[in-house]
Amino acid sequence: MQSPLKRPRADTDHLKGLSQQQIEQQQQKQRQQQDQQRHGAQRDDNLRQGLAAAPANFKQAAIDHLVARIRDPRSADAAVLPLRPALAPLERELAALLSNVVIGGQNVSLLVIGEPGSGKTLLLERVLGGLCREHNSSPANPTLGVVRLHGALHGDERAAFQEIARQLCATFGCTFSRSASYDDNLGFLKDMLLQLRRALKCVVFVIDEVEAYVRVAKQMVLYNLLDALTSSQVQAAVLGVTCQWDVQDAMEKRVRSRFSSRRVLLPPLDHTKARRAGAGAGRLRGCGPRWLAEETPRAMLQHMLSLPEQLASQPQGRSYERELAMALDSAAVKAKLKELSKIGVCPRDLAVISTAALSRWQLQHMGPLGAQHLLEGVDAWLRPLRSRPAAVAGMSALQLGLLVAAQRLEDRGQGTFNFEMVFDEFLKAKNESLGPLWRKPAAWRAFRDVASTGLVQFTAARAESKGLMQQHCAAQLLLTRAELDAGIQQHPACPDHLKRWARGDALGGTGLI
Amino acid sequence: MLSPSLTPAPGRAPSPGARNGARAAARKRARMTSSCTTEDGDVINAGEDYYVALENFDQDSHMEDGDEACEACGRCQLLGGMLECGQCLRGFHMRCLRPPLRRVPEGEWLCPQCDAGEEAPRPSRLVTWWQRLLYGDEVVGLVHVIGFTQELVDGEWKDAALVRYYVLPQATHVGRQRHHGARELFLERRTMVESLDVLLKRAYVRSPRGFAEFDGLGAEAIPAAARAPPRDPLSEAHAALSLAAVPAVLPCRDAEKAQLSAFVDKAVRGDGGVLYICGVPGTGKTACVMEVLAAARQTARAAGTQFVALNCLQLPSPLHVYSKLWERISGQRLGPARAREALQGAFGAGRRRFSTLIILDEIDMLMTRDQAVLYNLFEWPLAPGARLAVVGISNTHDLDQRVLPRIGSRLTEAKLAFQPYSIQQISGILRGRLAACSPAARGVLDGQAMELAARKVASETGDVRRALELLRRATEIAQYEQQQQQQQQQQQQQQQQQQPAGGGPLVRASHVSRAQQELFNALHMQLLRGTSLVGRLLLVGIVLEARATGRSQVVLQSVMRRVQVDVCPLVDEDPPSDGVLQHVAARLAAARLVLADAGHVKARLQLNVAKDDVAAVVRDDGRLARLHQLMG
Repeated sequence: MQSPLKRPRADTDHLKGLSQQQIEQQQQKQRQQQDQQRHGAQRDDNLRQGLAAAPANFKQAAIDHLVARIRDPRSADAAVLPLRPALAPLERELAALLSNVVIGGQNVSLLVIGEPGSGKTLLLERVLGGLCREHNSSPANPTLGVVRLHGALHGDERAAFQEIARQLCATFGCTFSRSASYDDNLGFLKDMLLQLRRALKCVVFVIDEVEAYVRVAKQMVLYNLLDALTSSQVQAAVLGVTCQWDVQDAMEKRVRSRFSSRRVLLPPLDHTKARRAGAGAGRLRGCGPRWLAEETPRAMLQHMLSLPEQLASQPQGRSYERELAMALDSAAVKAKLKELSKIGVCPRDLAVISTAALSRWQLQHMGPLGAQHLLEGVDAWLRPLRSRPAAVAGMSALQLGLLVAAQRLEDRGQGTFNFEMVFDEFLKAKNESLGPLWRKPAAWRAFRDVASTGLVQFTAARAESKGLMQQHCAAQLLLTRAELDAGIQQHPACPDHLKRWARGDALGGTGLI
Repeated sequence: MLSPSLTPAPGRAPSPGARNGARAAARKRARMTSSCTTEDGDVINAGEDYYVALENFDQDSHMEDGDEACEACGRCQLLGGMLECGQCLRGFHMRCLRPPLRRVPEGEWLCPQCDAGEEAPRPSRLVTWWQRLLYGDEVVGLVHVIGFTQELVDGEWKDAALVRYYVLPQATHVGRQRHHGARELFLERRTMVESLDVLLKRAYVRSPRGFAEFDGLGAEAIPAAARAPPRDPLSEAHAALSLAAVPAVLPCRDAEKAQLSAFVDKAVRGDGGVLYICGVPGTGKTACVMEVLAAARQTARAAGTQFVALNCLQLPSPLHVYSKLWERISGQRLGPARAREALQGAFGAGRRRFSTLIILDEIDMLMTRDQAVLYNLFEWPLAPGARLAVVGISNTHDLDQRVLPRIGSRLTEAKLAFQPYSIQQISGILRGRLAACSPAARGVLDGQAMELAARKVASETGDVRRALELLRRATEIAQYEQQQQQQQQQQQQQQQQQQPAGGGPLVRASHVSRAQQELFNALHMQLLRGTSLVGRLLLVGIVLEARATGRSQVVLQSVMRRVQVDVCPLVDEDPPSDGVLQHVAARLAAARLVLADAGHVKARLQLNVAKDDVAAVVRDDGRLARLHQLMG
């Protein structure tokens, strides 16, 4: 028996009609959108001016455009960029599946799996952007809503349900109550999905780093979303995005049963052979941006750095493209790219290299984008891989001495050590070498500084909170012998006795250590 | 809320005993009009509320409609307005109060007696209609007119009204609760047929503010394509195979359904009990229960039995099951502790008028350390006079082994196990799904394709959801193929008249096996084939290091050494630097090809794929030919 006179529940806060505040919010949103449109128009003007005017303006317009296109997968510039050949069929497939959700009410759940930086977000945003443009004729009253969750940001399930409620309210114009309880938000999700179906609207849940919701004990977020899909009263899709290929195995039985097992795998870049993009490539070659036919780092870089039609048709644009092709074909760049292929790069790495090269070019006053900039871009990407020798090269003699002492301990099979042991080892060298004398407090401070750079790590739990007892806490080196040697080689002022000691030579004349 | 009407009552002779004479099933020649005219010429509209005469209605004493008198002075002349007590609803002149009030107080006002917490006295005389409704002894009732029909009375067709009765809180199955307002009423679901003669007087019932239907989400315009039925047979079959398209009658579970409906019948009759349903996911547990409940709903409504279905995975914590249950039973929202007390009071003591059936899905989520929640839920049905039945649904078979022996023994006795579906059952279900479609869509799926899907799934899990998704994906693949064929045909022969691809089934066994590969095969081989040269060297290094140390977990630093010293010279590569190797290891760990416990050089690594898969990738790579022997 249902009571018609039941009190209004707290969660109907979300569901109240348009309040005054909300109208204001909507007006503000509209104003922002108008501003954005105006801003966009202004940038187009800049672009057109750049075409006609001085080379500096052309350069700025080109850099602005390229960087915006690379950085923001949701920007309008990125939306016209053709996807790499491996992703194009996936895009068609995803678009067909999701438009079947919007139009036919066929709920779907799937996982998008790919290595970090392989273009998962780019692909999804492209598909969702296309669908939103197609189905949301008025932004104030959308047919298709997108709720974006991120496992790292909303990993706590309570926060996840609150975030879902917040985004649903923002998208469909309801009033969100921050004070709504966990229970309210759970109930709200259910009610809202039913109401949306009645209004012929649907929601796509995009869950980034979905493994975070698989790791929690009850997997309530996944269970509730996927369970909603099995109801005929709900029209929605759940897209999980993850890097881990085996995330499905970690799902609970009841969650896995409700999940459709559909997976979209984004293949890594194909370094070994040139991938031909079928019949479409030839047709598209003449018009618009060149169709990407291969997935080699060279082709991808050229693709990322090539200008849009507006700019490329200008005299500067044509010379830019020519110079770019020449730079990419130069021997030095080729060798570097070959090295990169051996290490293995993903599209995001190439994007980092491109932006770094562009910024180097921007700093230069004259001249086109050349091989030098590209090499510097690659170096900028490789620099983090060489960070530890560089860190060693910047250390003081005392810190260096402690590191060498720790390394000698490790060579003798002492994998973990504490400060006292390192200092004892260091004293031996000091006694032998007649180098400058250091007191223990100074050495302790130096040791802590080394630990704060991450070359030495305390393995004991909560070592930071132990005060002076930290001197007795176990620690380990996070540096290999080869890196230490390289760092000492690069060091501008490494004392001679330390070099010898690091090599394992005897110090002084009195005996071995 | 009720508010007395000010217009005089229509003078009509009602026939006493209306409610007894209510004939719920006497609907003949239904004439659903929106209004009807009585013999006296009054127009009654659907949607209006009316007082009706009940058994004890005495026409002479009850027809007059007087003004309410002041409880203090006994007169009804207006001496500066009357004030109504919020609890006992008696009226008082403001001047007659001690001390007299000058202004109407803000908020709710209680009369001195109610304010002192005394038993609220009934009004001394029942003069108004609402007083007769609230305080009279079956004198008048209140109905909501929903339509009109005709009924046969003494061989003559007469107009009659289809009505739903309002009931007082004390007449519902939970009785009057503290939070019920003095004028609060509930609308029954049952529809009755009442003669027009018993309708006495118009009443006005209002719903509380804020309960109005939420309507902020309406579509501005319905898209033309939305909700259009699928046109081609493939799409129709695809829609029929959706998990959301649950059939009205679930096939292949007749024995279980019989047992369930016997239990539900018992519960409706008021004999409480416990039932524990277990089975792997996707074997129709919840769907069966819901189907049986839907079938029993009519009889339950007549008997006043309440069904409460909860999913325990939609609760913030196990203890919140008390709050949810009490809210569903009484409409009152309480915290878990107070709700538990309220439930204890309701089920633990005394005879209840109505019975209740509670269905708890995913009941294993209610497992707490002291198991108090499960204990209470399975203990209450045993209390004498509780008239409570509990159905627990879970996919764990051993819940009865894991709980306290006292609960466990009870669960074991009342266990209803859903076995995984067999091949025949799954293909029967699949056929059943398509049987509801048009003949064209029925022919779309090949019999062999269905057989294959059923066989694959039955041999693994017996989870029918998997079989449905498998066939659905196969349908999609076939659809995609068909589109491509059509495009090609259009390109090749645009002038010629095309014959549509005729007759035969479009989804064949080959599609099913492709879908099966796509859905259930592991993805790691594709990722392994996409690894870079350094990545492969590192994987080989891990295998070699693991073999050398005899442990599956190896330290990254020693793997690096092995790659640089042992592996690279064999393939004539410059040894990569430590930084590069660490970067590549982090990449492999991010894709979970390798399990790593940290990101630094002392991290412990472990292969997350089979060693043979790594060997296969090495074998296929021409550059690494010399390593293959090492791996063997």
